[in-house]
Amino acid sequence: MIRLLQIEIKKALGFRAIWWLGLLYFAVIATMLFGVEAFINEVVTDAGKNLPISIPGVSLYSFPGVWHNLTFLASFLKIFMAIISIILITNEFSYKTIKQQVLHGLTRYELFWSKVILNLTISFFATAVIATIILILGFRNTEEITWAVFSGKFSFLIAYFYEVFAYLSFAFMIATLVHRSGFAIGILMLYAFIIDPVLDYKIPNDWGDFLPVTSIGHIIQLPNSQLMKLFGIEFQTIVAIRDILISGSWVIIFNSVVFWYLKKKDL
Amino acid sequence: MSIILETKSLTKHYGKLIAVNALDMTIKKGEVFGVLGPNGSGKTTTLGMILGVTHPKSGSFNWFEGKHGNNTRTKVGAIIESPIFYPYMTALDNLKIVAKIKKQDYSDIERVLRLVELWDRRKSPFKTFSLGMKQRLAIAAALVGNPEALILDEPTNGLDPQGIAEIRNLIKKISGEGVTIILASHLLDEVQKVCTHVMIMQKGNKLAAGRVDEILSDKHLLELKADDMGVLKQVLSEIPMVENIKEDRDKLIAEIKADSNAEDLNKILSKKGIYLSHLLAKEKSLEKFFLEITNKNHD
Repeated sequence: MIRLLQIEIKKALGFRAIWWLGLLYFAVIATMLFGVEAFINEVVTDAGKNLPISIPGVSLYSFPGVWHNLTFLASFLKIFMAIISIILITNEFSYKTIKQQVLHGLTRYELFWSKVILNLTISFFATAVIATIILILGFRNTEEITWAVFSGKFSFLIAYFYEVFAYLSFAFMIATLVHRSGFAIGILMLYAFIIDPVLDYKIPNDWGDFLPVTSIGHIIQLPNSQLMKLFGIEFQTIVAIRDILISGSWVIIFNSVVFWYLKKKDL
Repeated sequence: MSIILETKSLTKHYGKLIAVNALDMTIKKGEVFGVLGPNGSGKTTTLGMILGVTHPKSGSFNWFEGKHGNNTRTKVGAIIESPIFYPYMTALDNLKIVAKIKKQDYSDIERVLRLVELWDRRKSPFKTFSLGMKQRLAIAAALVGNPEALILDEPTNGLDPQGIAEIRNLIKKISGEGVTIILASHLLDEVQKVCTHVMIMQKGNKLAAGRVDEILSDKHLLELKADDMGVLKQVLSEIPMVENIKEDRDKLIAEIKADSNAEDLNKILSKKGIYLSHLLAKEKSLEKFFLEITNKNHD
């Protein structure tokens, strides 16, 4: 496993576009997360100017809520991670290196696992970035830090890692079946941003919860912040087992499809 | 001699097309085994199957008589079609990945890069290499980990004459180190120059297999018989145009120079007082046939 990880990291870091995408991701997410509180307060104050009661300012950055707030926001950018994953996986098809690796003696089983490990590594990278930002903002914006306050919603960081990996599994399947990076990214975006939300809207009752991208998006939902309480709506406070199970089934399906494909296909 | 590879009824279909049809072949240690056939004759499909990138429809193959078990594939180095590497990475980094895949130490990289004379260019990205250099790097990659067998698919395709000579010398050098080589080619000339053994394929079928000098000889072979075979043999051995004499049951097979023919030899023999009871110029049917099918392909 370590050997496969070393191979994948060597290939990924040697590819310059990955550095640029990584840097771009870092710039976008840092700007977004460091700026979001001021932005929301600005909008809220602006909107509350003519109201008889004053709306309290929100704090997104204090422990324990910061784990939930920022992972929720960051989950909108997981498409970046998916693009990185798709590029690295489709490269193997366009350079024909996928075949050459088997010629050099990599088994098809190892071929599959090396890409799962790649996706786990990308998920880990995304989680590490978000964790760093959360720690910086959390410690600067929490008045009294106890262990309970600090770790209260830490589970959302783990959920974030899982959510990114689940999303990458979907991208993995598309990349493997389509082989072409631009095409795969296009299909992923079309499905994730248009088809899946429209289906979710059209399908009656809760059945839309079973759609792949919707179910993955449900893992971390809109936080139950002070602002939301103001509207009297209860939002997510903990990660729901139901969402984990539904998205988990999709993760198994996506990876199984790839495994089956890589096992059976003439390369 | 130990068997490197044995296939039994290896078969592959692509839809209705039979790419390889019930192929049996045996390759022994130390051979430079040529798989000769025009484009589309099933050479690459055959190599793909014995290397695990193409799934056979039926039949089986066995490497090294099964003695390496699960490590078999690390004992076989292979390049199929064009040299394939990560274009953005240097020669050295590409070979590091190959070494990792083959579970080999990085120390082997210097040996193989020096062997193919690319050590000085190890820090250049693969995409800056000429085709000949790419092909040599591919051979280097295939040699990482000291394989017992090396598979080369059209290794001189697209190279200039100098590149072709370099690759052919390299193949001889590697073969000289005891590595068994399987070489697929559509060039009769290449197989004749490089290989010890050959199998000729057409449309997925094996047409013939054996030693190159027997199957693809460019000499004329004459079958001869006379009343006194002892004298005949004695006299033949004194004639300059006769290069080799073999006994084949009750006949003699004489190999004569390419620029002479049966008529010339018959004249000389009759002058020496030997009258043949049997003289037959053997058809080199295979070679003729092969040239025919490849020429058709080129038109």
